Amino acid sequence: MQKISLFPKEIMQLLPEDVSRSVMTCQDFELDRTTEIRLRIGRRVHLVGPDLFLPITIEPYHLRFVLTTLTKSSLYAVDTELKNGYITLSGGHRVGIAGKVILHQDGGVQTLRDISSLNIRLAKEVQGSAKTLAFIISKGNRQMGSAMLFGPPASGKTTLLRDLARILGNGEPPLQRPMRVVLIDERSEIAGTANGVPQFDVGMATDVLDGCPKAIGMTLALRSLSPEVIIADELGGPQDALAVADLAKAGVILVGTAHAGNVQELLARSGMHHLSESSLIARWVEVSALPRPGTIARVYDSQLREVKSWHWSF
Amino acid sequence: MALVFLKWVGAGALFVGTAGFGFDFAKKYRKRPLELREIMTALRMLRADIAYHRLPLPESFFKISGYFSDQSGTHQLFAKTAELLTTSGTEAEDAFAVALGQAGEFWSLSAEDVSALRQFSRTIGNTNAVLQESSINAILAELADREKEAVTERDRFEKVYRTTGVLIGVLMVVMLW
Repeated sequence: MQKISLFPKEIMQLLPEDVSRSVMTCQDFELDRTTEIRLRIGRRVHLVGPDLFLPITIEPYHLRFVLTTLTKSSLYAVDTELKNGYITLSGGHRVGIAGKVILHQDGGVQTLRDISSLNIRLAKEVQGSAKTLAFIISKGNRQMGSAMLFGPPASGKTTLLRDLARILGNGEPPLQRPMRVVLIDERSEIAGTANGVPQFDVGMATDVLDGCPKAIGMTLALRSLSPEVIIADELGGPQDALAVADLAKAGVILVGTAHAGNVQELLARSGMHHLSESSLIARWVEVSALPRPGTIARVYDSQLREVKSWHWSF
Repeated sequence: MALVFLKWVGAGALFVGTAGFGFDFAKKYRKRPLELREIMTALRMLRADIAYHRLPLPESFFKISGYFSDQSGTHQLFAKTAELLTTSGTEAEDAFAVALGQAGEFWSLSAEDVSALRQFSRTIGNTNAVLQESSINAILAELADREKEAVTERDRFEKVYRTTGVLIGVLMVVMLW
C-alpha cells in the first residue's frame, strides 16, 4: 500500500490552474498541516490547518471548473450525493458543497444550484493512530465490546476509524488474530473505494460495503458476510440507532461514530439517547481535535460513567 | 497504333472517373441510414448507462466507442468525446461539440443531422437521470424520423446517381471519340 501524500494527484487535478500554481508556492510544512482547501466565491482561497489565505480571489468559473471535474461532467451520476451536500472523490477525499438549495415537492432536497462555496477535505491515512483505540475496544484482549466514537466535526473520527479497521482486519497488536471486519462506507470515505478497490489499507480481513446506507448495510452484512466487527461512520438518525441496537443483540461488535461535542450533546440526540439507555455500547470514546486531530480525550463505560484509567487498564 | 491505344486508355479513364463519382454520391445516400441507426444504437446504450448504471459520461462514452468499428463516425464521436473529457474542467457539451466536428469526415450525415446532435449535446450531463433519459428519448425520436427520410432518399437517389455517373461517362466518351 503506497502512502498517500497530503496533496495527492486527485486534488491537484481538481484545482484550476492558477489556484494549483498558487498552492505550489506554499511551504511544505504548511501543506503538511492543511486539512481542508476552501473555495468561496468572491473570497480568497483558504487553506484550513495553517489558516493561510492565498492571493487568489475565487470567481464563478473556478467553482465551475472544480465542479465539472468533480462530477466528470455527469451530474446525474452524483445526484444522490449532491442532495446530501457532498461528493466523494476517488482516494476518499470529500468535497462539501454549499449553494442555493432547491427543494423537492415533498420537502426533501432536490438539488443545489448557484454553488457558492466548496470545501475540499483531504482524507488522511495515519497508520498507527488507532492503536490506543484498539486497546480500549479490546479491553486488553479480554472480551471485546461495541464502541461509539464521538467528537465535533474534523476531530479525526474517520481517520481513527480507518486505522481501526486496518488494525482489526490485519490482526495487529493488541489483537492476536485478524477479525472479519465489514466496513459500511456510505460515503466512500473510510476506504476511499475507487472501482471496487479500497485506496487505503483497511485490513486483510476487511470487506467493504461501498456506498451502502448504514441501516441497510448492517442487515446485508449480517446476512451474508458473517462479520465479527461492523464499522460504520456517522451514525445519527433514529433508524441507525435501531439498526445498531439490533446488531448488538446479534453478537456482532459495532464501532461507529457520531457528531457531538461532549456527552451532554450526545445524549441530546434522540437516537444516541436510546442507545445509551440500552447499555449495548460498552465504550463511548470522546475524540478531540486538540492538541491534534484524533486525540482520545475521555472514555465512558456503558452507563456513560467516565473511565479514568483507560490508558493502561480495564 | 499507339494513338488508338491512347484513345482507349483516355476513354477508360474518363468513364471510370465519372462512374466513380456517381458511385461515390450514391454511397453517401446508402451510408446515411446505416449511420443514423448506428448512432441510435449508441445512444440507447448511453441511455442504459445513465438511467440504470449511473455511469459517468467519460466511462460510458469510452465503453460505447468500443462497440463500433474504428472507421465509423460513431466510434470517432464517442471515443473523441471520452478522450476530451479526461482533461480537467472540460464540460461534456464542449467535448461533444468538438468531437462532432472532428468526426465529420468519417460519416455521411447531413448538416441537419449533425445540428440535431449538437442541439442534443446542450443537455448532456447537466441534469438528473430522469431528465437525461427524456432528452435522449427526444433525440432518438428525431433521429428515427431522419432515418426514415434517409431511407426514402436512398431509394430515390442511390440508383439515380449511380446510373447518371455511368451515363455521363458513356456520353463524354462518345462525344470526344
